[in-house]
Amino acid sequence: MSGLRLSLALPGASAAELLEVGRWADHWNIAGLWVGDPRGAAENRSDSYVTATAAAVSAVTADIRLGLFLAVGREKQIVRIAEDVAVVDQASGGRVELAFVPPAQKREAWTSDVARLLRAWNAWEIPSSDEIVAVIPGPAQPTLPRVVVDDGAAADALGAGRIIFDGGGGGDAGLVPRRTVLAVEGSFASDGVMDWLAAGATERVAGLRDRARSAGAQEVLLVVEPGLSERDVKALGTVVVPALRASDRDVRHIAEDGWAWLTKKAHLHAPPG
Amino acid sequence: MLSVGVCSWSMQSTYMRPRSHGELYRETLRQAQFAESLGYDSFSMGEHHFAYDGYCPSLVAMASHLLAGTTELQVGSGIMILPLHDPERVSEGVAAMSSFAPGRFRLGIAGGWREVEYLASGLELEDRGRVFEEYLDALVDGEYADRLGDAEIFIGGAAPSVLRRAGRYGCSLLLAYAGPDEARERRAIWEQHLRPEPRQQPKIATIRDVWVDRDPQRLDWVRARMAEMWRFYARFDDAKVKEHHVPGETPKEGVEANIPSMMKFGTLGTPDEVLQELSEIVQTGVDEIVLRVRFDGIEPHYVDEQMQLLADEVVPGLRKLG
Repeated sequence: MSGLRLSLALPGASAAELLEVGRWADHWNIAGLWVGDPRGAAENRSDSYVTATAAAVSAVTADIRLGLFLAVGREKQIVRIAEDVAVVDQASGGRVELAFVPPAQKREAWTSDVARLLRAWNAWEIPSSDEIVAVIPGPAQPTLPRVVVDDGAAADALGAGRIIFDGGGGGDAGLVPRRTVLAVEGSFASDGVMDWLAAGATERVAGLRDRARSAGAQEVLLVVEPGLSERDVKALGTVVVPALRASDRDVRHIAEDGWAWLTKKAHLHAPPG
Repeated sequence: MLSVGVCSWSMQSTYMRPRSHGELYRETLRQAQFAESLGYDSFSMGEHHFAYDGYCPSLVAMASHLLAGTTELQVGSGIMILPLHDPERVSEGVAAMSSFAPGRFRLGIAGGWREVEYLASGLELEDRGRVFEEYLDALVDGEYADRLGDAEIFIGGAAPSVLRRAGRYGCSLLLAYAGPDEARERRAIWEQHLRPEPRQQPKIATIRDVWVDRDPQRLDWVRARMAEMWRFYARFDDAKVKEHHVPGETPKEGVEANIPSMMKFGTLGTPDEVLQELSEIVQTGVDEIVLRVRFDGIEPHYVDEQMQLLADEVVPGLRKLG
């Protein structure tokens, strides 16, 4: 399999940090920035914080996809979340993707609420009435790409893809025709990606690619702690992104060449002076 | 020093100017950046829900977008219909903006009037005062005050109960469509009830519809466009016809009969005439005047011209007064 995409998530990061990382990600060819927390536990994970942050990132980026981890909480506010999502999609020129984070309990009711949210742009029933209205504007995209974190049943019910955690099972994902994202959790302090690659860029990237392929994933989502530097994002764009996209026969030398370009050929990056 | 802002962006695609929302959202960011380049202090939007024209329902998200795309401009949700928004959600959105644009978001709030928005949100219109106060309390004095941080709160409205509430919570006041006399009267009520130690130094801002032109024919044209806008809003509440009227006046029967009184909200004329009329309002002691230059359906290059002309020929005179 080739054509793997690489995206980033920084659970707990502030909007200010995500704005900066978003700019770097846009510049260094990262596919997407996911805002919020796939585990549903970190600070700054509330749906409103997530949509406000994504709206901000969209103003300073042009190409990256904007993933929103949404918990979809209290019933009363579902329609407000639908409005927020649509406005972010409009303001970003149609770059929003959704990832729903299921609660620990009452998943059937939650799945039903998410389904209502996804219908709201066409039909929102007024309580205690047979009147129907719609959230307008709807998203710019006719159908928003959507995944559910680690819950195949909810994903099936919502016609969504899945995010599965690396090493957390879900090995049947290769049989699922819908989109699968492999979330790989890592701890990179400042310049940690460089350190991670320095320990063996070729092996590291090839291993990541193999795990994604085993999971049947089309996308690798690096879930990292706040504190990522531009040097890290540049390393991901220079070494990891090209190698993940490469074919089996090319992956190792693309990773080698990318790493060498980054670390040994800095003198070629710009003309002298 | 007097602050001068512009309003009222709502990203509507009406029959007067049918455009894609993508275009309208891009246009709004560009115009916020243009307003900032001209030296305006603030840029405000408006909110409605479930309207065919897509009147922006999500001001926190859009304000965040505009703040990230500008560097110094204050961006306001003037007006967010507070009872429709869980205060926790409001405070979380504000916290996100405060992390990268501290002190630049202003929360303009009011109770709204459109029944369908309340019903579709699981509320009754008659509950708006109670819910408004409950949510305001949570934001100003309650569990979400910390997350709200230093965002200024402006309360909009003209009713004495609203003015008293704004005073009790120590919030700034956003006067909509008040002439000098109304501005003084409303200020007096607000000041009488102002809490001794407000969370911030409260201010008074006033909104005025403005159009500057030396060409009488173009002024007639914009008067007709404003009249069409008010006609449009009279039918805005879906099946019902709202009798828009000047606060304090008795609504007249029928849509057309009320339009002339709505036109009193506008200050239209040559730069000297507009400066003179706005000066009278500024001299009542307001801290900010918000110039409504964006009217539904008017092409953005005319709005750009207005912002430029006002910045060049009216705003300097107003700032001398403040």
